[in-house]
Amino acid sequence: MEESVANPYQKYPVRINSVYNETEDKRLKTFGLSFVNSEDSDYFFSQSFQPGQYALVWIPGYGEIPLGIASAPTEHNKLVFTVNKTGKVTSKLHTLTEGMLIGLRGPLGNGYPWEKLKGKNIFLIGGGCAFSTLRSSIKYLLSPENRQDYNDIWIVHGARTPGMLLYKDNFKEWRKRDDVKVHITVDSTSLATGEYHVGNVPFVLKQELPTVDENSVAIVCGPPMMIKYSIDPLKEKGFLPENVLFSLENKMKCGIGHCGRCSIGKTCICTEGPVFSMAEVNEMPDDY
Amino acid sequence: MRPYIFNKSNLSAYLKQLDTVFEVWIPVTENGITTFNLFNKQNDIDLGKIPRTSVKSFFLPQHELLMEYSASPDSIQLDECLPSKKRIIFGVKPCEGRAVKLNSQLLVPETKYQKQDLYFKANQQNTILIAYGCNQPGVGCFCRSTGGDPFGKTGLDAIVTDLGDRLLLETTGTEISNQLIPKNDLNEEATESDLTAAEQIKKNACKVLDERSEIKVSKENIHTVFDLEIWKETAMRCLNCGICTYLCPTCSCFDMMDYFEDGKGSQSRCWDSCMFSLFTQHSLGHNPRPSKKERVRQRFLHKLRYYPEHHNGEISCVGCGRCVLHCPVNIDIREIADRLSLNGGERG
Ligand SMILES: Cc1cc2nc3c(=O)[nH]c(=O)nc-3n(C[C@H](O)[C@H](O)[C@H](O)COP(=O)(O)OP(=O)(O)OC[C@H]3O[C@@H](n4cnc5c(N)ncnc54)[C@H](O)[C@@H]3O)c2cc1C
Ligand code: SF4
Ligand code: FES
Repeated sequence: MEESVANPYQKYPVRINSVYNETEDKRLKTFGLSFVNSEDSDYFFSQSFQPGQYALVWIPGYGEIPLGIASAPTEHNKLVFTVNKTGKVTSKLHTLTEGMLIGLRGPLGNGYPWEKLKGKNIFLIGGGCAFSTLRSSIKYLLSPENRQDYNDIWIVHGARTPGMLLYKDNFKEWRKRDDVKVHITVDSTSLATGEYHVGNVPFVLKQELPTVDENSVAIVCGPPMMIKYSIDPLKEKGFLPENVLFSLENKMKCGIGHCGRCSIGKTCICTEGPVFSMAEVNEMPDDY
Repeated sequence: MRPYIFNKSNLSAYLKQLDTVFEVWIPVTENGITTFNLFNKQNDIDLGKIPRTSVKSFFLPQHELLMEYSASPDSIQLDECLPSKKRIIFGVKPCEGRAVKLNSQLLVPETKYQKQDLYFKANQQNTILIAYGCNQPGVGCFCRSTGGDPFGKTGLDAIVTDLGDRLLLETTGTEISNQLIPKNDLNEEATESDLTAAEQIKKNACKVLDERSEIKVSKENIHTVFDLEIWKETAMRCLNCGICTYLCPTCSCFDMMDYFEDGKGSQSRCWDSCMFSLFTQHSLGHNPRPSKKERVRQRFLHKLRYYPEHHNGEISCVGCGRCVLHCPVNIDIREIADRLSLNGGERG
């Protein structure tokens, strides 16, 4: 009951603990944040925060933007975001340094349906800043408390060049494990080391993925073109439309279903999404 | 409880009674445009016209402060700016009460899973609506076609019926409405014959409106509705000026922004419009609604299709006719609704 009267526009102060340049073009930075007040942190994590959710990150004087949460609930009170520098707020964010305070509200929207995914083979496919919620998902799935609930886990991560690949330290760890299959690919490289495939993500899906049945689920997050051309290979491998999950992105302001701008037909992306299956997306009118 | 009745010449005296307790707003015409103004002895109340702007401004103001804050790299202090001023708006149209209710269903939903807009909610708690029923519905009016009524009480605290020389005041039973009862020598109960006269006026008004066709909700497959020719045709005329969305009492889309100077700032919101291309344009340039066709389609389908799908078939149009009267190129939601209902429309 208390929650229903909370002001949804109230923000928690969070402190920037780390800033890391992810990519060689310096357009993607990863920020590590922590809550200033422990009650805010308790509230955030007790809200059954799920990988796949997003938060609105606020810079005083600049505005609020939705960002996929890149850290997992299992990372205990740590928050991570990976930010692509595009406009007003993201550019300002890129100038901020360790120790500074910003604001945050969330977690918002729905995560991936983890309860329903139990016992399934999970294929996490993506590239670019949209990989953020996949990082959260992988951390979550591979944590000791969750790994046994899921079957095979595959990761496919693609970028234009080796210098554009994300979360390099995390990938080093993940590649060492024998309970997850990792495929990394770059569009082109001058030094083929055998560490990655050369080719785009759809190509790798065709070449490396096994044929699957209804017990396999693909979560696909990336630039629109990557998503578009991944659909056919996934269908050919046997993924059902209800087992291919996307995280949709639309311009957002309020994040609570009120300001009216993020909708596709009758569906409000900020509250009913951002996660939708391909079957659901097929039902939506062509307004995205 | 019987309605009250007083002479029209005593209206000002009644408003003064209200004015001692609440701030009172009334419709006033200046330079041919009717808007709500603060009641004072100088301004003349104009009950005959449909105010150009709706009471939306009192519930979801054109510009509204959400938060004030002081911020530095190492401290942030936020204060919410919840509105608290109590006021009465006298002389609204009954359809406005319905519009408030429709917006309230979106912004202050009752299910606890959805977030509540505390600003709209506070405005709702602080704003008392007294309507002036419509003896002679305007040329653009079609409230009965949308499920409303020229003397409907939804969303109102009281309603006045004009009996020519006298005004009949009926409170609606809301918590605050007993504070609207006329006092002293204005406190007189209506007689049986006053009530009969009022009934007749209502019947006449409804008769006029019932000749205007009912708006139906299209239930045709959404992909088919999306491809109708009507969107292209309407978009060719539409200027995307946004007048319809600003004047509409149920259009509630808003933008949010921050101001900041010398360590102090504010976050506020202001009306936005689905008719504008920047409404949906992503930072990287992609726009899901790139042309007028998609934007026009969004506006009408939101009112006539998407809103009803979430709210038991109720359309989010109350038939006030503002968009019909003021669209510079005469785009008419009734014609669009008619064309849509040809494609498998039904109500509820
Ligand atoms: C659910 C979701 C998750 C996202 N996750 C990430 C992420 O992990 N990393 C990342 O870098 N980006 C992410 N984005 C995109 C990010 O929100 C936009 O790049 C950002 O809002 C641009 O803001 P700006 O002020 O720099 O750009 P401007 O062009 O100056 O935008 C002005 C305002 O419009 C809105 N806006 C503009 N473009 C978008 C957009 N594409 N999506 C939402 N709102 C927009 C914002 O309110 C923004 O402040 C996500 C978007 C959504 C909807
Ligand atoms: S008022 Fe008329 S011209 Fe202007 S945006 Fe609305 S429909 Fe288009
Ligand atoms: S972001 Fe405001 S309605 Fe979705």
